[in-house]
Amino acid sequence: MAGLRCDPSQTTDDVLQALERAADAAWGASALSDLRGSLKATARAIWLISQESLAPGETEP
Amino acid sequence: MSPAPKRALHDLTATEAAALVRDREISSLALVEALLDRIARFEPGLRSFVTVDEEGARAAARAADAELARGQGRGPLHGVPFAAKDIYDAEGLPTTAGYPPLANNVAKADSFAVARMKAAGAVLVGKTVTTQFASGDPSPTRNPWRADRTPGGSSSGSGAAVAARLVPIALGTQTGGSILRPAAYNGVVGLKPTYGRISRRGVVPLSWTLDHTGPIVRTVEDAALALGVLAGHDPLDPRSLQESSFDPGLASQPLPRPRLGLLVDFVERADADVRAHLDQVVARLSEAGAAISEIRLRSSFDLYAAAHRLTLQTEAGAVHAAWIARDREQYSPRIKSDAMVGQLVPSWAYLQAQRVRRRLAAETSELASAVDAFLLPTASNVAPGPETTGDPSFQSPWSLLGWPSISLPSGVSADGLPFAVQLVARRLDEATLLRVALRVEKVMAFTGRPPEQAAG
Repeated sequence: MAGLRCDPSQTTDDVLQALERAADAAWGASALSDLRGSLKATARAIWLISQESLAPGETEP
Repeated sequence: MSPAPKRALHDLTATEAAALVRDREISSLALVEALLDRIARFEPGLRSFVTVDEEGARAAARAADAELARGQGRGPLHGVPFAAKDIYDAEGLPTTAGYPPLANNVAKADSFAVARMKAAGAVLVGKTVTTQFASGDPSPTRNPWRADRTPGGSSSGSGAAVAARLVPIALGTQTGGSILRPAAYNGVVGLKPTYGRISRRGVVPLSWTLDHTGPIVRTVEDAALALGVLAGHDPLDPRSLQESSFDPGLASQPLPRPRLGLLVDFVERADADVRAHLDQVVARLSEAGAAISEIRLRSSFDLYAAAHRLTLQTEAGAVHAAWIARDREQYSPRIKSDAMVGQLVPSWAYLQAQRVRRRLAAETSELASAVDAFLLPTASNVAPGPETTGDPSFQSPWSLLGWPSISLPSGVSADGLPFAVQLVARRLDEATLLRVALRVEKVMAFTGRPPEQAAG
């Protein structure tokens, strides 16, 4: 998914735009309006998680 | 048979009903008939049941009475009626999960939890309404306290049916806040045990690592009784804990002077009336000998919510992938959009959420080490309007961590709606959780109940 990498320097808008592009590709432009709320909340969650600094050896899933 | 008890049959708790049936002071059939009458009277307005199995319940009650007449008792719930949320399989009854294409999906076998209840002698009355796939879209069920408010979700029917005295026990499930929030909004008791304590086999999944099963009842004593029946290892549930059985005797005595950690991050986010009520609860518990200290989370409240959201959404996206691809028009809007967007969450984000989840569990465990339980409002608000199932953010952190939590009714708002407090204990420490809950229940002495006319 181009642009949606784990990068703490990305803004929530960067993440949202990447998710919207992915949604357009997966579900079509006509679905975007129905998905808007979920896309926004998910973008915010992804951004927040990406701000957490975890060293490679720290905290296995 | 002795004279009937002074209390109405529909007001009996599960513990009381079990004792009266066992002592043959009432029959299971009389109890079932009383509840079926009540269901017929209130259900058209309440809409808490999807299926009422009148003949099946009568047959099971007759069998229970006949067994007792022969001196055979099945277990601690012998002859006691119960209901199960409509995502639990119950042999011979449809499991619809609120999804129209499953209207004729008749279960071939009981789910683990329903089988456990039946093995303990309980009598299945029917299946209660769930929001679609136990997600966040509102159900048609009304709140028995006020018909213009939500009963919460996703265990909408279970919460409303127990509050309206249609059954003393109903099984619910919780992935975010779907046992505790309906319990709170309906003024009853909801217990979400430790993740893996009760098997999920035969329950329609939403999110494998977050889905919990548990009871909605009217007293803490009944919560302990039900947990004792339901808990136990199931080799056919891959996440069922090996040491999962629970002895209700461990929770028979209240903890006299509990040490409670008041989670201020939650209190600060609650509505003003909820905060004011919690102040009163804290004052009363302190006067009664509880030691209450304020605790702040080490990580942000929002981080718990983010890890929960990504976990739920990604797993729900996988659970529903095939059906979403085939027939998504039958889905309700919220579960549909969450499952569709869930398929877009990148793998690193899901895995990062699981790493954060583990870190949050470790640091929250340290915070819990000095107290018997956390204390917080069950929800940020009293029951809002029917366009929503309410706010899951105060319950979902404990689903994320898999820790046991319980909601107790603690008062009634100026609007005539229940307030509720939530207690949370460390993983697998339901004994302490329930002992603290017994104490809080006794101190708060909640006697509220929905007005009869509103339920109808």
